[in-house]
Formats: sequence, structure tokens, C-alpha cells
Amino acid sequence: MNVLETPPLPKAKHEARVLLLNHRLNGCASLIRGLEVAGFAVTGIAVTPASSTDPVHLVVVAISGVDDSACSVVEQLRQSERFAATPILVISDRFDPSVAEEYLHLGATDFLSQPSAGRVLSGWCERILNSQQSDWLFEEYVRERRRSGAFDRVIIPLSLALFGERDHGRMLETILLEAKALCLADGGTLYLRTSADTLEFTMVHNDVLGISLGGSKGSVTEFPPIPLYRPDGGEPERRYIAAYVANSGLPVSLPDLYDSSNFDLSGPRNFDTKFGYRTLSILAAPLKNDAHRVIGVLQLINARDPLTGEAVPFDPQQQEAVESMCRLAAAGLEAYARMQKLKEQISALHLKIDEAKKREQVSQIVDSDYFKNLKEKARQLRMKTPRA
Amino acid sequence: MGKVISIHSFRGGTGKSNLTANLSATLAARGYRVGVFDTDVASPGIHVLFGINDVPASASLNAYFWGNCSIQDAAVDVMPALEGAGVPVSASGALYLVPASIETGEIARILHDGYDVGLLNDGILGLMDHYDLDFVFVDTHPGVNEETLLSIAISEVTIIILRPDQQDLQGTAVTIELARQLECKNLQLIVNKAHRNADHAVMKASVEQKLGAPVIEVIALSDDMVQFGSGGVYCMRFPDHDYSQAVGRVADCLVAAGTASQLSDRRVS
Repeated sequence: MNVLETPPLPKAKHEARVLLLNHRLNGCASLIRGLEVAGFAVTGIAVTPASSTDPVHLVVVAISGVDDSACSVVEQLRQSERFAATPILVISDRFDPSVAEEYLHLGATDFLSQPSAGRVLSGWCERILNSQQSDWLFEEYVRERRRSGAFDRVIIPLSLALFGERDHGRMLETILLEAKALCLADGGTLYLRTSADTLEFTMVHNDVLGISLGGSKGSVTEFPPIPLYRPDGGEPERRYIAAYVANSGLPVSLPDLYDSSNFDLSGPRNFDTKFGYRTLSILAAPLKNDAHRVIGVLQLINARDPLTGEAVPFDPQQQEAVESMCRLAAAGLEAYARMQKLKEQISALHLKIDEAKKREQVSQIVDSDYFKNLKEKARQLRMKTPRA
Repeated sequence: MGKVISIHSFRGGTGKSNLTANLSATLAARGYRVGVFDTDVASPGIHVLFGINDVPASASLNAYFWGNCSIQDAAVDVMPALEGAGVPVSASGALYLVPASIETGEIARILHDGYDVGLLNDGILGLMDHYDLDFVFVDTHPGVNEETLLSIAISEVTIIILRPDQQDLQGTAVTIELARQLECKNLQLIVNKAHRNADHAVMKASVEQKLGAPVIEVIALSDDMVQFGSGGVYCMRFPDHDYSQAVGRVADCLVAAGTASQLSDRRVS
């Protein structure tokens, strides 16, 4: 369940929309009036919810005694994607602890018996909505704390680590693993663009499947490189996510791999089949250098909700963070490449001999009488020894 | 008759003495009979690597030059320093060091008076004959002074060690030219303290092309070696280390290049 998918909570009571499902409760009309007088917008008075997608902040199920159809409605609401996180208040014309317990067990948020007046009901609704809002705000607070903590823990140390790292394999590993940790993602792939205009798998990692290829362990040979241009005519390849990201320079976020038709997703789907895995969400972002050229692609799969651990789509904040990280990673990789080039240049510089200087130094020595004597001494020494 | 090999460098600090100690120890451990002459009389130090802290003035290379002792008396059997260090040592191997004096007065005297390279030559031949040596290494004084150039002239093989930097390369180029003028034919190079990330094959080819002499090994600068300092003969303690492996390859070259068939009889397989 992703709580962020529920409708935004009302800022004021008059914005709160209440769906009333009436299952033969006497005096229900007066209760509705009481709610409306109190400022709630009561919609969709029915037995079962309509298929409308209008936002609903609270569902009130009105029952009279034990009602199997009402039980079934509560159960269905909880199982539905639309109302899974919406608070449900069951109101009944009589008090029966076993009935209350049954509804609560089925997923009702609260149970109110014998609401004598609309004001009592509206007060109850208000309390539930406030409580819901508090829960929601608390969860958001926890998420934000984790996100900002991730920035402190990941982004800043990463930038320091990348620019100090001298091992290319470890650098690639740091980029992928830290991005993965930032989104609590199951896994990911880091591709680097080659001079042959392909995307090379440089690291593949998946915690769930226990896969860790490439990085400091060497090159990934299990997967062939992805061509960035189509063999038939040389048009930029846009069918595959990573190739599209490399060619367009734009990030791609798919909330559900199996609910997307914009790309050829046979690769990840085959991967799922082969490993018995379920890829839900994918986030792919380009690694662009200073000249805005894409030098690689970072692709993450299956973000996890920090509270529930369920696979969820990558949210916009995570995408923003990963894009920032990719900028850092590209700068780190470029700096590494520059350093290597500089080293080669320094190495070449060190290996230059000033021939003129050498000739002058040598001639100063060998043209001297001292050296002529030395040569003679050397010759005599060699003559004395059977080795020479 | 064994081979006389000078280990030389244009500048100090190239790792010359360390390489001489490790190379001679490697050959001795393999079963060869080896002698080492420390002719770096201005700054002697190789004895420390063999665990000798004190060189008596009466039994040193200096004393031999002044006629105060025979070359055999000046030679120290340093084989025991290798045994027990971790590497199996062949029973047929031998390693003798002729150390230079570390007394300040002796150093000042030899720097002032110089020494007779003819005597050095006689000493090498004498020790080689006395102990039936396969190899004699001459650890020279850096630079191009007279004694050093003559030491090179009397050697069958001269190995010049250089670091991959401008000054060493320039100085080595001059040294090679002087050695050739002195009709030294078998000159070989070792590039030491190369950056570990540098492409050693490219560096080897580049140095060979610029200096016109074969590079038998490019050895990376090792932090482990630096940390080890003068704590002993590194190859004997850490035989699997990259440095030890590189020294082993140099030893292979020396054996293969010379009288390998004659020497192979000594080796204990």
C-alpha cells in the first residue's frame, strides 16, 4: 500500500468529503443533515460505492444490527485500491460488542452505536479525520526524515568519496550501491557508454536475488552491450529504456513494468521469468558530463517503502535525488578520466631526454684527458682478468 | 668462473642496495653461491639489510683496500640471516657480503684518497675463487665517479636502476653513454618505483626506445616495502609480494642470460 496515493487530506472541515453507505439505518437522513450542518460534504449516499474516482476522505457505513451485506462492503472497501487507506466509520442503531468487534476486525476504523444526533456523528467524524491526518503527517515526517537523512548520509559523503577514489571499479560500485541505498531499491545496473556507441553493463546488483556482478570484481560478461543506434539505418535506439535515456538525456520512471507499453520491456520481463522475480518500478537516469554528453546510465529497480518494505514506484523526490547523484557520478567519472590522462601526460613528460643536453654532458667528460686515462685504466683492468 | 654484475644508479634513492640485497638473497636461496661487495663506500648501508649492525674497521672492504686484511677476512657469511625468514633456503646456496666500513674516519679517508679499482678487481676474483661463487654483485656508489665507472668496466653485466622521472632518465642516459665509451657491452636497466597504475609495458618500451638498452623489469613503488624499511631482506619475508616476484624475474634473467647450463648443476630442484 502506498499512502501517498490516497487523496490529499482536507485542510478544513468543509473540504472533507464523506461517502455514506446506508444499510437500512433508521433516521439516517437526520444524521446526514447533521453532518452537512457541521460542514461536511456528504456524497454518494448508496449501499455500495459508485465507480466514481472523486476523492473521499471518510466512508460512513450505516447499519442496523448484524448485516452480512454491510460486512461484505467493509471487507471489499479494505481490499479495494481506492479505499484501502480511507478511514471507515461504522454507525449502528444498537450497541452490540460482538458486532462492533466483527466490523473492526474486517478493517473498520471505528464503530459508533446509537448516534443520537448529527452533532455527535460529526464530532466523531472530525476526530477520525484529525487522527488520520496526524497519522499521515507522522508518516510523511518519518519519510522526510529518512529522505533528508539519506541526503546527509549518502549524497554528501558520496561526493567526497567519488572525488577521492582512485580505483575505477570501486568508484562504479559506490555510485550504484549508494543510489540503490538512497531509494531502498532492490537492485540496479550501471551502464557506461563505450567509444563504439554502446552501453556496456559495468555493474549489475540485486539484493533480493543475491546478484553482484562487475564493479571491483571486474567486467560483466553475462550481458551483451546495448547498441545506441539501430543497425537498420543508424537511427538512435529508443526502444530500450537505457538506450532511450542515453540518447534523449532524459530520465525515465516506470511505476509498473507490466503496465507500460512505451518501451520494449522484453529484457527485464525475461529477467523476471528467468529468476522468478517481479520487477515493479524502474528508474533510469543519465550520467551527463560537463558538455551535456551522456556518458552512462544508472538504472534502479523496485524502490521500497521505508515503512512497509513493499515495492513501490520511485517518487519524484527520489528521482530528483538520483538525478543529482548521477550528476555527481558523472563529474566523478570525468575527474577520474582526466586524472588518468594527466598521469599519462606526466608520465610521457618524465620520459623525455634532452638529447642536446646529454650530448654536451657526455662530450665534456669523454673529451677530457681524465676520461681518456680512465678508458686506458679500464682496458688494462679488463686485460688482467680472464672474465673480460 | 662466475659472473660479476654491477648494480648502479645515477642518483641515490633508487632502491639500488635493496635490490642488490634481495636479488643476491633470491639467488642464494635458490642454491647459487653469491658474493656482494658494498662499494658504496661514501654511504654504506646494505649490511643492515642482512642484519649486520656493526662493521668492524679491521674486517671490511676499507681494511682490505688498506692492506689490513684479506678479502676472505673481510667477507661475512650472511646466509644465516636468510634462514628462518620464511623462504626455504637451498643447502647448496651461499651468500657472502664484503661490507664497507661505517666509521666516519674510514669514510672520510676513502673519500679523500679514493681506492684502487685494481685491488677491487683482485678482491672480486679472489673471493670468487675462494668460495667458488656463481655471481658477485657490486653495489656501486651512485653517479659517475672514477671508481664507479671502473667498477662498471670490470663487470660482465651492469644493471642500472632508474626511477621513471626526468632527472633519473637524463642522468642514466649520460651514464649509459659513458659506459659504452668504456666498452661495457652488457648494459641492462631496471625501472624501479614506478607508479602502480602506470602501464608498465608502455613504460618499458618507452625507456628502451629512449635509452637504447633493454629494460629487464619495471618494479612498482610499494607502500609495503616503504613500511618495511631496512627491516631485512624483503623477498625472504614476503616471497609472494609483487616486489619479490619482480626480483625473482630479474634473477631468472640473470641465470638465463649467462652460463645457465653451468650454474644449473648447483640448483636444488
